[in-house]
Amino acid sequence: MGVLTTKPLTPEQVATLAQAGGLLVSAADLPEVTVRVNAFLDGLAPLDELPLDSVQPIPALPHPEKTG
Amino acid sequence: MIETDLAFTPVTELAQLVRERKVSPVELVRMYLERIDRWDDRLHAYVTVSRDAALEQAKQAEAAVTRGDQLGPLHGIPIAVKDQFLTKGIRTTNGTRALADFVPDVDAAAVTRLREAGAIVLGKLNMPEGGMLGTRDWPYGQPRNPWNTEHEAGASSTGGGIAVAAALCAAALGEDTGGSIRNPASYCGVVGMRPTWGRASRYGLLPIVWSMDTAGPMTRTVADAALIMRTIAGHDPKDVFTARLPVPDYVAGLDGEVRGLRVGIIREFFESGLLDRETGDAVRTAAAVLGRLGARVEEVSVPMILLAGVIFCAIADSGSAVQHRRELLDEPDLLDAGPRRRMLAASLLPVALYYKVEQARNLMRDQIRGALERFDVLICPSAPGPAGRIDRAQVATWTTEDLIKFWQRGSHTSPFSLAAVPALSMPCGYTASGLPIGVQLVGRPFGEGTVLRAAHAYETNSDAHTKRPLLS
Repeated sequence: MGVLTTKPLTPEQVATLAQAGGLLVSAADLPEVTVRVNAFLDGLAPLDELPLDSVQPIPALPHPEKTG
Repeated sequence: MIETDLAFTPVTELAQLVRERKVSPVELVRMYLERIDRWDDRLHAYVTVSRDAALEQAKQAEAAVTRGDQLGPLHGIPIAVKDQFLTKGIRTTNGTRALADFVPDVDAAAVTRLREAGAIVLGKLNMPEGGMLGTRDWPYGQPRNPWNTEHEAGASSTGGGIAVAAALCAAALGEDTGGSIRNPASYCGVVGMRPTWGRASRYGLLPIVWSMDTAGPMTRTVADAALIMRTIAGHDPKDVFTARLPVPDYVAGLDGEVRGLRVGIIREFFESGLLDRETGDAVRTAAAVLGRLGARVEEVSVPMILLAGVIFCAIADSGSAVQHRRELLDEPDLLDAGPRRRMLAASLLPVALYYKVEQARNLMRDQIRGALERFDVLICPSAPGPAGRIDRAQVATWTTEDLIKFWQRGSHTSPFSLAAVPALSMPCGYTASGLPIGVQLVGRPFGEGTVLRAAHAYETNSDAHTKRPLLS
């Protein structure tokens, strides 16, 4: 399933993760935030199958020679 | 000419009428203000109508015509601007409650260029909070699609799609990060263009994702898009990533000639199971029209393309979370629940995963640009189907499956944002229920002229752009 985990994160784990990052997730927001975090982990899992080892993580800087 | 016809008249013709003194800028501004008064309580295209300033500018524009001054290409044309662009003296909310009283003292570069060309800023256009899809309680009113007000109008240049389709302005300035011009253009049956990243300045544009945000036109014709594109494009010292390349005369390039043009129809969208049948048929018919005009249309594969949505959202939601971190920390209740939860979730993604996402983005960019080495233009649906119903768009409880599907649907526009190439959506038909269908044309970096030329050739040989919504 996920890229870095084998089981979906629980709301409690998500709350702890948020706390570690200095964010407070309210009780009302926590269920959906948990679903979203787990969905990201699921949705991004196929990236593991891609040949990314030699790909550089550069955001779009398409034509540096033409800018500046 | 009856007033409704005048309101729907293309910018290129309105500008000519103004130059020939057949129509006055004051008349145009009053006409659009009256249409806003009549229809916008229901449609909610506008956040702010700049009534007095627009009328004052119109009077000055009229005086310039009377004096015989040299006039810009958009002289006296009332244009509306997405509320993501800074506008001097006009409230700029970015769709958020947090900026409800923010009145900038500068114009965004794109707005400056429109004003220098003679355009009159009629007002600021509605958008989801911070440009993020998923806004549930719209701070400035629930936008509605002019073709059927029970349906959504797309996002995030939402007001632009509505205002152009309903002729509540002559044209609009939109912003596109992952599809924010093309999606509402598709849903509302208008032309919307995202230029190459670096073609138009981002100065004064409240950011979503620095490496994908672009200004672009939303219009009723391709020629109008070409005219506005030419106006806003070009190097700007205030945005170091704007290209120093000269800006072609896009309007002059609309010669209708597509013979020999290599057009690649992207296969994966038609095999995804996501595509609405009417949409697929309409897009294939549009490609066939280009074929009949002499273009060489073939299928092309971009294997990663349906992953674009999740890659884009991982980047965009993380970027938005950084932009709105102060609100997330100090005033989370100022943010609508939809965008807030998106940003909170993205804030928790591991750095190693984000690194992998940026690698995947580069791989996708290589695939798209590889396809564009073999083809001059790529063609595909702007969205997998027409605008959905508002009550269905307001999802109360998301599941993982909902989100995966949402991301896959976003894969129709976001790949070309990730690849930083130009893309244009234009109407190519209507569903049996009367909702617009959009076709998307994609070009090489800085190939806006080719995209516009192909779009114009299609438009000239089709009639989807001639229909108007029946407002009620």
